[in-house]
Amino acid sequence: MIPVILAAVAAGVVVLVFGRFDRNRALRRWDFVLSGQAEKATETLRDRLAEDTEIAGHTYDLALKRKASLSYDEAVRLLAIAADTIEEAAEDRQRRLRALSVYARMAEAIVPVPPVRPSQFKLAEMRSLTGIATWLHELLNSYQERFRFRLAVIGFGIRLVVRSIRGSRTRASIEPTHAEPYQTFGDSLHDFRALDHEQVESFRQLMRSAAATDRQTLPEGLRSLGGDAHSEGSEKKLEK
Amino acid sequence: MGTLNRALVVLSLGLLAAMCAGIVRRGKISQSFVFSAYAAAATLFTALILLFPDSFYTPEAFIVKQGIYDSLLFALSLELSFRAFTAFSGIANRVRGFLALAVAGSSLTVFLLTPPNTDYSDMARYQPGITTAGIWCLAFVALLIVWYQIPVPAFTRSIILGYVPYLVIFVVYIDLIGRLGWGVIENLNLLNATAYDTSVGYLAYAAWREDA
Repeated sequence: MIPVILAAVAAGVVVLVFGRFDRNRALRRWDFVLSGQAEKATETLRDRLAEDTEIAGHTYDLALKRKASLSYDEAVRLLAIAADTIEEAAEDRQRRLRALSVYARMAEAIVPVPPVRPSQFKLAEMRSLTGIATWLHELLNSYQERFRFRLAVIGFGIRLVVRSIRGSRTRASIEPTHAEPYQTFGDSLHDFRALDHEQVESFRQLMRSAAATDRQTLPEGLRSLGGDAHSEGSEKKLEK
Repeated sequence: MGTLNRALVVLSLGLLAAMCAGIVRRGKISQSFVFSAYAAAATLFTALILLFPDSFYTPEAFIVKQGIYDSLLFALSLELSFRAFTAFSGIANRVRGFLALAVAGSSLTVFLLTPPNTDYSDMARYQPGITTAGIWCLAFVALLIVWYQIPVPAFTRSIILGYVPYLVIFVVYIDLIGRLGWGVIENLNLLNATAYDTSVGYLAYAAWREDA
């Protein structure tokens, strides 16, 4: 019976995982990895990530002004809008991190990346997370493992920040006159920006690593991918 | 061999011949020499069984045939992994490590399961383990392809997706023979032949399909 179960498990895994594998998608990913336009692509990503946090930051500033003018209902409503914006942005960040993790496997070698710096964060849970992560980072063997661990830390950090934002929104709606929820919300927003910065930095290092790939060692079909003809428009399409 | 079973074997011969023709016509031999060899061997054995059942539809011939198929199954895993990963020097060492583990594990399984004198009546005892080890080797290759996003040719993907599910049916078939006894072999042969024809039909289609 054991061989039958093992065979069925293997076949299930093959059908579910390999059956969903899309060769054209893999080729598009290789095209992106080999495009070698690190700085340009990094700037594009940085601008795109900044858009979300700017909207949330602006709404948060408005909420503080309303609170100062004693319009608490309006302040709480604006805080909720800012929180929704961040929650949506967080989902987008998680998708990007998953994609970066896939690209990291494809890069031939990864340039060394530093751990996520704890001192840049304001939330205690973020400082604790990154403090532990800094210690674990040193224990990992290869640059590739360290890079993927860095992405995992950023992803976990985003979850912590979103949880903090949700909590402060709820507390603000219960006690709108208290300063603490607004302060925590502001700190969370600051940490979200810091995580964005770390994500952009990871992306930049990945692009640098990918640019160093020796094309001559790749199969014929991949040698002609990427290169100068790669436009910003197609990069955006690939990022999605 | 019953009439229905014979009809299914005739059908599988036609499908195997179509698959071989497709592999040659579309120039897909170079994508997997081992699978091409398997297709040729399966076509030959099936033709011999139909033409000379007294000599080739026998336990001894089955043991020889199955030994060849099992060897080709393990060789297929190694060939597919070699073709998929050799060009990627950055990951080739790690992949070699994974495959060495898979091959060592499956070799150990084969070594432990295969009796000193392989006998047809003992087949249900050792054959499921051997085939399962082969399935896991192919599964490892498939998972590594997905993990490292290797754009393997469409036919390579079809080989794994078409062959592995059939092998599971084959394992179940042999296991049931061991459990229920040889009295039910005619019915089980129908099950196995139907699954085999479905698998070969898909692979014949994949062989003839023009890859983008």
